[in-house]
Amino acid sequence: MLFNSYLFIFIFLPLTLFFWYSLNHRRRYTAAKALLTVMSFWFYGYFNPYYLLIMLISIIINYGLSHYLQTVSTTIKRRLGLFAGILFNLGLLFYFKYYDFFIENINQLFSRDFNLKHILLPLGISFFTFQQLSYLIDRYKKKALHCSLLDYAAFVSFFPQLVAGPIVLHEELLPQLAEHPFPTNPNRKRFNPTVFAQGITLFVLGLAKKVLLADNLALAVNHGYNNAHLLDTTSTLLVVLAYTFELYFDFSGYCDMAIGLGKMFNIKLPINFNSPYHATSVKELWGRWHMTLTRFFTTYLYIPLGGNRHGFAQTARNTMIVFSLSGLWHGADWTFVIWGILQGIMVVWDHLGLVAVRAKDSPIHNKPAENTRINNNHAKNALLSIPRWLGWFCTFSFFNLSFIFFRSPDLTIARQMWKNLFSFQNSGYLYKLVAQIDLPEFYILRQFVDLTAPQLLNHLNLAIFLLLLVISAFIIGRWRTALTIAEQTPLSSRFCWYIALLFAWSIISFSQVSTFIYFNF
Amino acid sequence: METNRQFIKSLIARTALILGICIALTILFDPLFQYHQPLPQLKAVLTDKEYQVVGSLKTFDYDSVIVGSSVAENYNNAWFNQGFDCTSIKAIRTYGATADLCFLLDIAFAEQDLKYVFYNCDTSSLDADPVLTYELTGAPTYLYDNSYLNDLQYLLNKDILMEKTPFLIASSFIGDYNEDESYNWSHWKSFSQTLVLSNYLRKPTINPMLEETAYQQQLDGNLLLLTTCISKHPETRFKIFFPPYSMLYWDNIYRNGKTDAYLYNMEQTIETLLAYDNVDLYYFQAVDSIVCDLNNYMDALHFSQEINYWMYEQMLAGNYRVTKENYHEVLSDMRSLVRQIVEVEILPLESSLIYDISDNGERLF
Repeated sequence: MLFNSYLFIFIFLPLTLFFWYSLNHRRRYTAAKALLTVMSFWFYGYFNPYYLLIMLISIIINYGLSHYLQTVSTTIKRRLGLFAGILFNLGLLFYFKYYDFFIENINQLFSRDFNLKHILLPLGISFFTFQQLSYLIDRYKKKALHCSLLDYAAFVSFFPQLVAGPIVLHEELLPQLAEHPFPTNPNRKRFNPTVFAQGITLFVLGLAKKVLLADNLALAVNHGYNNAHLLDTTSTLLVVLAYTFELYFDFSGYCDMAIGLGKMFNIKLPINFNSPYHATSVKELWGRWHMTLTRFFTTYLYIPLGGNRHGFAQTARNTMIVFSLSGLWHGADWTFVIWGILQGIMVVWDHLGLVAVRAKDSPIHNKPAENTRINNNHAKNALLSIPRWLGWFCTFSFFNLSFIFFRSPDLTIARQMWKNLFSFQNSGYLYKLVAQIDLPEFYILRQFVDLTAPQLLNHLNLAIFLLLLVISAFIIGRWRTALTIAEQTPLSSRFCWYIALLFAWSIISFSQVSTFIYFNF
Repeated sequence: METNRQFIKSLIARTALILGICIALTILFDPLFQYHQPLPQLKAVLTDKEYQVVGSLKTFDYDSVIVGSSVAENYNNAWFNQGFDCTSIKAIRTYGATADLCFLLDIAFAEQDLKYVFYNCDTSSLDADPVLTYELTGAPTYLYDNSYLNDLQYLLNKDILMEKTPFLIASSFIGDYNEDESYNWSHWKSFSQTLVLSNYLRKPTINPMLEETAYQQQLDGNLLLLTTCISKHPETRFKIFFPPYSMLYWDNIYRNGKTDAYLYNMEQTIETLLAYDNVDLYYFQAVDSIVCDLNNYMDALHFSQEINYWMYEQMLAGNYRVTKENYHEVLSDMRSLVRQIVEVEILPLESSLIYDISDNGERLF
């Protein structure tokens, strides 16, 4: 089920919270955990019972392998267990996500005609597969303890993070679910009004990002990419920019909701976004964007490959491997691979340190980025030192344009979008594009203009679209993330009204069809 | 504010209050007419068939229904009210699949005692699968049942509050919305041969002719649905009519190799329906003066409101009736007309037609 659904908000969430706290209050901790797991299964199975079956099989097999690693002591047997686990998890992912892509390429390369399977991709399979892989690898390295099946199932299936992350590590979630740390933190499973208030606020902010911003921007973006051959330069630029905002609000909104829900259960989930569009280099951006994925690849791929310990060439190689695979993780298409490779190239470029971003003179914000120290170190060896605003502009522009590959359904459309950008034509299609943002909030105004000054209707549509982009830019431009707002804003009656209005406004917007972009990854 | 506990309570209470106001407003104005008829002073503004047909069938007062696809939308209810001394309402479903129309009829019969059912029978509905298509086509099925549980999608709906409700109010007081012209689209369309020809993408190849009985299974299913409805309501007079599609429609059917099967379907349908005493059949498809004059159409299928009015007049006068005595002759005329269309009438237009270059001659079914 979707977070942005009536069923979730009015039935599922209140029921789950009620039973969770009721059972924990009565010290029925195992029952509470079992309840949470069953509810998570319902949450996931509601999309499609077939998805649930696949996830259950995955959980049981991975748990079995963890148990196997517990029982064997020889290195060879442990390696065998790990190898089987990696093979199973990556095999599962390959079969459901990449089989058709692989066959398509084989057919094309060798002029063959193997049949495609058109397999239904279980939602969030990339997320729960990576989560379980990390557990298994850490079990092999003896960094993780074997736990009960219930704990493990609760860890993997915990519904807030199940279908679109963040990718939670065992060390972050399992201790919070287990009964054992109770003596050290007796309030962990009790209702904590402070954390709950933060959680519900964060959930509302994430919901609003998704429903009120991402879904509305998507109206123009979807139309643009569906009619790429009709777009002129201006409309292409705006579509590309709108998608950059849409993706951020969609994904970070989902993660805000997930973290907020976690807080409502008094369970802390890791943050996944830290103002990524403030970054002044691509390398920095990847430390702020989808942080738990970056962490996964760094821990389980980049470092085992040697990381940056063996000189620039090997660092560059490792970086390219990581980002190419990261691209492929996002989707089974060459568009994603190219997008990943582009990110890798830019991160390697940043590794070179030829251009450094100065720590001061920021017109974007006053607060320096977290890696200012690193930038300053780079600045000593750099051939060129540029102001922060320029670093930000180049980084944002690159990331923005690279999303053309990410969003395009195939390379033909991506090529068309690039062609549009450099055609420098103005066909007037912009007005048709902005007419797609047919928001009910502006219905009366549009009707009024249509009746009194119909010649201004196109301009009004354009103004609405630009307003949406300006609001998006304003929200992104602020340094305060949704998490900061939820945790640090003093509680006041006015703030409560704002959040209530946003909540209600989001809920009455559910009638629009919406799909979370990251569910497919 | 106060404490975290108070904040949580206030937040939930205030959100509930705002949502409660939204629900109250939607129930009060009820622009989809799920709960009641229009408030005094407001008109029954019916413009979204998928959203409003079921609601209006549930809550309005009527004793007759005009049932059909988009080609039935341009009838003026007042014509039937006056001519047949009834109070009519429209039950429209895009594509006019038999199962969907029978579903709407079931709702109408559950709510009212019907005097007349004016049933527009599309040729293409006879070979469609005899199953409901609402869910498949993403129709708002939460409006189609009697459960209040799923009504939240209607009651907490931004589009309803910010668009449909203001539109209902504005249409009631501003402009000249005519309640008898529900779902009418003809006022915003043009009808001319030039337009029709520009909208018609002709199949360059001609498929081999299908067997007459190619759609027997679908036909049997659809006829069973329709005749079940007819036989369950012997007190209701079913006026079933076949509307006139343009000659381009028949050209397309011919090129897809479906002519024999379609004519057979029609013959079977007429034979079946003639067995019921409470059915009057009217056949307008063989009227060559209409079918071959493309100025009556906006595309191969959709005709102007003048044709709707003409059909109404003929039904009122009892013309173009199909009876047990004349139906062979009517169908023979239709066969001749289709032959004349593909062999004679279409020829002068061939140079003006646009051809579908993506067609590779393969049959699409």
